[in-house]
Amino acid sequence: MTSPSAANHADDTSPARSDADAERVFEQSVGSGAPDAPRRVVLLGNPNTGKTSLFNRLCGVRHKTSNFPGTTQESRVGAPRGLPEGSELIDLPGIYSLELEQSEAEICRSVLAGELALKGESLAEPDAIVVVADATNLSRSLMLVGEATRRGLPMVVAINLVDQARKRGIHADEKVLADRLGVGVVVCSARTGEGVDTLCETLATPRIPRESPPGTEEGLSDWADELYAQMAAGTAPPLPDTLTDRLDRAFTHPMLGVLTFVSVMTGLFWVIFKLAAYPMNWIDMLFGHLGGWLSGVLPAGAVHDLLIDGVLAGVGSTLIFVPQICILFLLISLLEDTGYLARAAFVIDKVLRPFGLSGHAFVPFLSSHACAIPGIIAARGVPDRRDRLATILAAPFMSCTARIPVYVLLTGLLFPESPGMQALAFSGCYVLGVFAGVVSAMIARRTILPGKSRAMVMELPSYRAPSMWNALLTARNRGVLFLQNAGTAILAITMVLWWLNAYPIVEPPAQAVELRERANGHMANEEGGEEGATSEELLARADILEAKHASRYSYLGRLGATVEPIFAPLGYDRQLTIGVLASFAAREVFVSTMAVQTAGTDEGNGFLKSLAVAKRDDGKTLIFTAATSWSLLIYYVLAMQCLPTLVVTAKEAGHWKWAVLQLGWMCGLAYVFSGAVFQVMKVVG
Amino acid sequence: MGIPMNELSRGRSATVLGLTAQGAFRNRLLDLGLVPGTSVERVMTSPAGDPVCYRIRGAMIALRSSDAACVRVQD
Repeated sequence: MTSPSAANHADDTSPARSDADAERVFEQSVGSGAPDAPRRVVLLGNPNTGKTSLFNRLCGVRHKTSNFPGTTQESRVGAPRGLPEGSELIDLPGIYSLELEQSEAEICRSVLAGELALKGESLAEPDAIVVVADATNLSRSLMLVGEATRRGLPMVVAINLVDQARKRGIHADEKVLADRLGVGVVVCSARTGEGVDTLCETLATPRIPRESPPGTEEGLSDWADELYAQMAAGTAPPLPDTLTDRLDRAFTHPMLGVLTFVSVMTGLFWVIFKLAAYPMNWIDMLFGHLGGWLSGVLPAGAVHDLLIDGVLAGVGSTLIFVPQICILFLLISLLEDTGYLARAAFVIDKVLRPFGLSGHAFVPFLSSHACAIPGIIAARGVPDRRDRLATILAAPFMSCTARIPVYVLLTGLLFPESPGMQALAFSGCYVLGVFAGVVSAMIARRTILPGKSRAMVMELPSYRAPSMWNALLTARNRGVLFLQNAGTAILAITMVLWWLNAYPIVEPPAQAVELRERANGHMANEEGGEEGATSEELLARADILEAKHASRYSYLGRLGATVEPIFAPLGYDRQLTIGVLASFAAREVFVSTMAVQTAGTDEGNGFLKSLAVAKRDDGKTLIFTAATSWSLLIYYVLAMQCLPTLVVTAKEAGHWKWAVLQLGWMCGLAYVFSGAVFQVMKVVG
Repeated sequence: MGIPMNELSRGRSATVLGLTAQGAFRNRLLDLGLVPGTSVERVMTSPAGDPVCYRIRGAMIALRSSDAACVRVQD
């Protein structure tokens, strides 16, 4: 591009010539002889050809992810290097053929025809296609190249993974292809960066292919075979990929294969479970400090409460999901790059099949044991739509980390003297969750999502060294997308729940007022009152009373009292009902809510002991009887109590009805089973 | 004539004779290059016995046995 000053200068000296230039440029852009640099370029290729890595090489971080309208299929659009400002490169979904009746192929066809564009983009035929071919598997890639030539659009062929091909002794002459089709053909490797600069230059001059294969499937296959033979003529036959063969023998060995699977998956889980705990703690601490700091700066009052307990806490509880999501997708990207993820699905497929699920569902389920939100997002890796929906519906049954405090509390109350029984009941909860999940998936697949899954055609790509850069980009994208898609809704829900819990502000109870007065009196004459209570103790007791009172008369507390009859068959009183309702923000909130409500009933004996003897409103009956505790435990395993998860389900499944179904099904199931357990235990004693 | 591809024994190669599948699935198999005359090799089996991985045109493709049964091959 010439600088503006230079262009102005030319205008000044010879206006006539500059007009002529303008005409010529205009003619060029309408004429077919030498088209301008393309504005909209699409990236088309088979799965596992490194298309995404190539996109990353061409666009780097200058891209955004969005959906095709009316679908959950997402795609990325970026600004490619080598093309003028304002040009865009669209990464289409990976497909085996343009002619398939599957959603990805349909999307590709519509985009090529100019009938579909990403949300926020204008409808227009692309100016050029870049077909990404796999150098290690050229004969099949050429079939897609052949299909692309039939579109009559200017194109460029990028033969990717050339470093891999070379290692395996596969050589093919790209000039043969370039001569036959009359289009630019670039040999490159997105992994090493080789040829990427040449590709950028070639992008600017795509050409309409001068040849395309005959219309039939056999004709296409013969055309590709013949072309490949011509390209490979005179080169030595390829070496077998001995590393892949040797690794595969180990990874699919009846014993070693299962062992590898278990170790890799345990490692994956351990890392999301343990490693994510650090950034999650930092976020917690950071928001704690921010709250403390703001609290000191702002005057007490409604604005103070809204900003600190509402907004700041809400933002914190949304951000807290980000570390697990980023870490999970970093690992999934690395595992996928190496080629192992496909093997893992291959190994576990048969185990999940009786439940109407495919091997791809394993990683979402495993991740859901850390948190259902990254688990549900990971269900994007399940290729069949019905399988994916069943996986999303079942994922929140897996016992997530938020349930752990509740399990610990309830098993502690049930078996106070026996750590062994506690552990057994604890493990039982996990088993029950998995079982309920896969059975629910099976029921869903037989009723609302009937039909055979799309045949599982799973390519097991050659083993490759993973790219950390790609993994980091993926992790970043997932984190950003989560915040964009679900973040605002989760924040809003958290704030509404906070408001329900904190308002209306009620007058402190008379008892608390009296305690405060006595404490003040103490300070005046340091004599030490009855029971030896100091002023601090009196104030602490007043605080507890006030918190209990506020909790009881908040909107949530009143709601709890209203819906108490609904939970009565499960054995829950007013206080437990409030605890269950408060859990909708996050399940672990149950523990703190119960602590607030029952605090002060029996001081000095520890939290668990005070809960164990806490009484209902009648002042006689225990809140946590054995029957109630079992009923609660079952309820917390099965019920959908996490509104943030519902937001993500709605986003990922593509419609709110799936979130409503998930909520209804899980809570219904929990209600029936907890009720049954409570009633049976009450009768049995 | 021929046998279904899932009955191919481990490590053996065979030539595709034709497909018994219909519709979208047939197209999907064709797009993998499973056209008459293509050579296929049974490479490995999942520890659970199914799916099975075949080498088709240089790519490793795993198919469930019930799906692979739709491909007739000449042993």
